[in-house]
Amino acid sequence: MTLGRDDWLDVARKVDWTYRYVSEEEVFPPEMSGRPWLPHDAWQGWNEAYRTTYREYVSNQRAKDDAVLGVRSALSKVHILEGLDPGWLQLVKFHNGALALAEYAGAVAELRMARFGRDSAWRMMATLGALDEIRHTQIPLLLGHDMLRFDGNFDWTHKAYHTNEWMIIAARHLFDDMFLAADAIDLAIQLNLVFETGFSNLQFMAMAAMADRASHHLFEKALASIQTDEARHSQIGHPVLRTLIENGGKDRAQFLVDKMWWRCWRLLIALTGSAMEYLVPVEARTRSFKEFMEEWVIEQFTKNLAEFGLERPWFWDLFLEELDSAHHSFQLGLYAYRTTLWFDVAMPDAEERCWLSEKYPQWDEIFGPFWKRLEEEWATNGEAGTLAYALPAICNLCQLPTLFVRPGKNTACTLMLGGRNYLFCSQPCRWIFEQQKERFTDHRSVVDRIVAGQAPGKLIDLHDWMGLEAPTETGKDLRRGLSPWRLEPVPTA
Amino acid sequence: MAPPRPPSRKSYSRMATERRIPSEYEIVSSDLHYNYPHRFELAGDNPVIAWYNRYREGSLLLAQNWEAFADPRRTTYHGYNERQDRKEDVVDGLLREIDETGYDRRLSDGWVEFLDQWYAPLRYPAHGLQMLAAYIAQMAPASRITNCAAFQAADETRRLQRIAYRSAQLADHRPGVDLARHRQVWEGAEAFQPLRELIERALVTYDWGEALIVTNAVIKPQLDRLINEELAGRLAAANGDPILQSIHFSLQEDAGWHVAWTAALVDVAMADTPINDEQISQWIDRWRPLASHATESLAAVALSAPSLAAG
Ligand SMILES: [Fe+2]
Ligand SMILES: [Fe+2]
Ligand SMILES: [Zn+2]
Repeated sequence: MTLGRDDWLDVARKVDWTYRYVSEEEVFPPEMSGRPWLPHDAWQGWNEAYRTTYREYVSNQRAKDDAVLGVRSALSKVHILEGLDPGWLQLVKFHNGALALAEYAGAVAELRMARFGRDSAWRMMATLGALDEIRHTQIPLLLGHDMLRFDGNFDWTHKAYHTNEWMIIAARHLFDDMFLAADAIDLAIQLNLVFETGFSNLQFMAMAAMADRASHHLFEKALASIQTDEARHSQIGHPVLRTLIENGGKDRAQFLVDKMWWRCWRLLIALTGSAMEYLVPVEARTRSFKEFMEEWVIEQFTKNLAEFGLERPWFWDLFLEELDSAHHSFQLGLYAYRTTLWFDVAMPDAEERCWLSEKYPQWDEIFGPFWKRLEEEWATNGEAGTLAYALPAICNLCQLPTLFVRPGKNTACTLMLGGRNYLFCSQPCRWIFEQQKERFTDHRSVVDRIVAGQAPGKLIDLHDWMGLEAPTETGKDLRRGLSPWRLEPVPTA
Repeated sequence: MAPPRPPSRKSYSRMATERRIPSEYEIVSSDLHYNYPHRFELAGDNPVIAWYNRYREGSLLLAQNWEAFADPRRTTYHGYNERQDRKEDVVDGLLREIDETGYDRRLSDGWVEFLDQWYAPLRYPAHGLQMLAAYIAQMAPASRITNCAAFQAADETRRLQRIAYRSAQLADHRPGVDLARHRQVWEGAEAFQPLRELIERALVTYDWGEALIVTNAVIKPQLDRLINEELAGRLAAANGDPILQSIHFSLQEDAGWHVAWTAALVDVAMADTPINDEQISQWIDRWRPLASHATESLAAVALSAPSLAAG
C-alpha cells in the first residue's frame, strides 16, 4: 500500500539537528534570522496549515503553467490586443512595471527564509515559495515581451525597477522595508502575513475578475493562477506570528502588523485603487475599490487579528475615512504629474463620473470641481495647462506625494530630527518613521535629492534621470484630449 | 477613438543580445537583481543590507559582468517543473513497484539494518545542502545564478523527501527501522561526524563566492557521487536493492546539472577576472581535506553492508 502524505512527510519536514562544531547562533545570526532570537526549541512547533510535497508541487505547477502558457500564443495575437480597451492596456503596463521584478525580490526573500528560517518545515515551505516567486516574475516578463511589438513601452515590465522613476523608488523603498532588507521573522510577518494574506487577493483576484470582463483572458488566467500560489506560501506567516507571540513578542508583532497594514494601504491606493477606478473600463468594473477593500481585505484581516488576539491598528478610523477619498485625490496627482509615469493616466469621462458618484456619493462634490477645472484649463490653455510644474511635497516614509487631501482636511505633518525637517503624508507614516528612525532617517526622497542637487531640477532632465525617454515613454492623457465627451455637460449627482 | 500607440520594440531594451532576439530563457531570467550592486533603496547601515554589502558586493569572488553567465540547461520555471515532474513520475513508479511486489520482504536483514543506520539519516545532511543552495541563491549577484541555485535548493528538497519517503516505506514493511532514531544516529555515529562538521562549517561560510565554491565545487561533487552512485547505487544493487539504485540514478541527474552550471559559472568568473583562479584554488585547497575526510569516513561504512559492491 502506498504511503499517504501524512504517513511520511513529517519525517522529511522535521530535520533540524543540534549544532556541534559551530553555534546555533552562528548558523542563524539574528541580523538575518530575526529577533527575538530564540533557541530552536521555541520553533519546533512550527507547522504550516496546508502541506505540499515536492512531488505534488512539480506536478501541480506544471499543470498550472500549462493552463496559462498553453493559451499564450493564441491569446496574444495582435487583433486581440487591438480589441482591448486603451485604459485597460495602461493598467496592464502599470501592473507589470510595478510588480514583475518586485516578485523577483520576493523570491530572494523566500530564499532568505529557506536558509535563515528557524525551523526546517519553514525552510522547506519557503524553498517552494521561492520557486513560486520566480514563476511570478517569469510569467509577466514573458507576456510583457509579447506585448512589445504592440506597444514598445511594455519595456517597463523589465526596465522599471532599474530606473529612478519616482513611483518605482516608492515601491523599492516599501519592498526593501517589507522583505528585501528585512530578516526572516520580520519578512514572514510583513510579506507573508500582512501583504500576501491581507492584500494580494485584491491586486490579483479582483484584477482577474476585471480582466475577464475586459476580455483580457490571458491576463486573467495569469493573475488567477498566480494568486493560487500566493494562497499556499502566504501561510508561512501564521506560525511565525504565533511563535513570536508565544515568546513574549506580542508588542513587536502588533507593531509589524500595524506598520505593514498602513504601508500596504498606501501601496494599494497608488497601485490598485487609482487603476481600478480610472483605467478599468466601466463595464468591466465588478465592485468599487472601497467595496473590494471592505469585503475582501478588511473582513479577512480583522478575522486574522482576532485569531491572534491582536488589536486593530490605532489609525483604523483614519484608514476607514480614507477609503472614500485617498485614491481619488491621488489620481488627481497622478494626472497632474503624468509625464513622470511610464503609463497613461485618464481624466474620468461622463459615464465614469456617474459611476464614481454612485459608488462614492461625495465624489462629485469633492472631486468633480478639480476635474472640471482641469477641463477648463485644457480648453483655454491646452494640455500644458493641465500639468503640474511645481515640485510636489513627498512623504519621507511612503515616498508618495502628500496628496491625500480633501477640502478642509490635510493629513500632512512634519518631524524635526537631527537638524533635518522630515515631511509626512499622514500621522501613521510619521509614526512608523519614528518607531524605526535608524531604518529611515538616511533616506532621501526624490524631492530631497533634487533640492540637494543629486537629481536634476529641470523637468526635461528629470525625465532622463528617471529613465523616461520623452516623449515616447512619458505618460500622457489617456485620450489625448481626443474624446468627444469633453463637450458633454458634466452630470451632477 | 484609440490614441496612437508607442512604437513597437523587438525586445526588452536592457537585454544585451546585440541584434538577436533573446531566447525565452533569456527573456525571463536576465538582469533581475535591481538592487545589485549597492542599489538597495534603504540605507546601508540596515543590518541586512550591510550583510549584502559585506558578503555579496564584498565577496572575494569578483566579476565585472556576472550577466555573462547562462545556465547550460537554460532552465526556466516552466521547463523545470516539466522535467522534474517526469522524473518524479519515474520514481513514483519505482516506489509503487516496491509496494506491489513485496520487494521489501526480500531485502536481507543486514541490508535493512544498513539502510536504517546509514541511509535514512542522510536526510539531515541533505537538508544542510538545501540550506546551502538557498544561501547561494539569495546572495548571488545575477539572477541567472540565483535561479540555478534556487532550483538546486528545490532539487535537494526532492532528494531529502525521497530519502524520507523510502525510509518511512521501509519502516512500514520491516521492523527494526526506527524513524525516531535517525537524528541521534546523525548526531552520534562516528562515521557521520566529519560530514556533520563539514556541513556545519560550510553553513557559516558567508562570503558568497566561498559558499558557492565550497558547496558546489568541493562538497557536492564528492558527496553526491558517494550517496547517489556508491552507497545508494552500486552498493544497493550488490545487496539486492536495485530499485534504490534506480531512484538515486534519477537524483544523480539533478546533481549532474549542479556540477554543470557551476562549471559554466566558474568559467565565466575566470574569463572575466583571471585573479579568481587563485582565489578559487585557495578555497578548494582549504576545504578539500575536510571534505575528503568526510566522504572517506562515510564511504567506509560500506564495509558494514552484507555484500560489498563489486568494482
Ligand atoms: Fe508572488
Ligand atoms: Fe508571494
Ligand atoms: Zn506617507
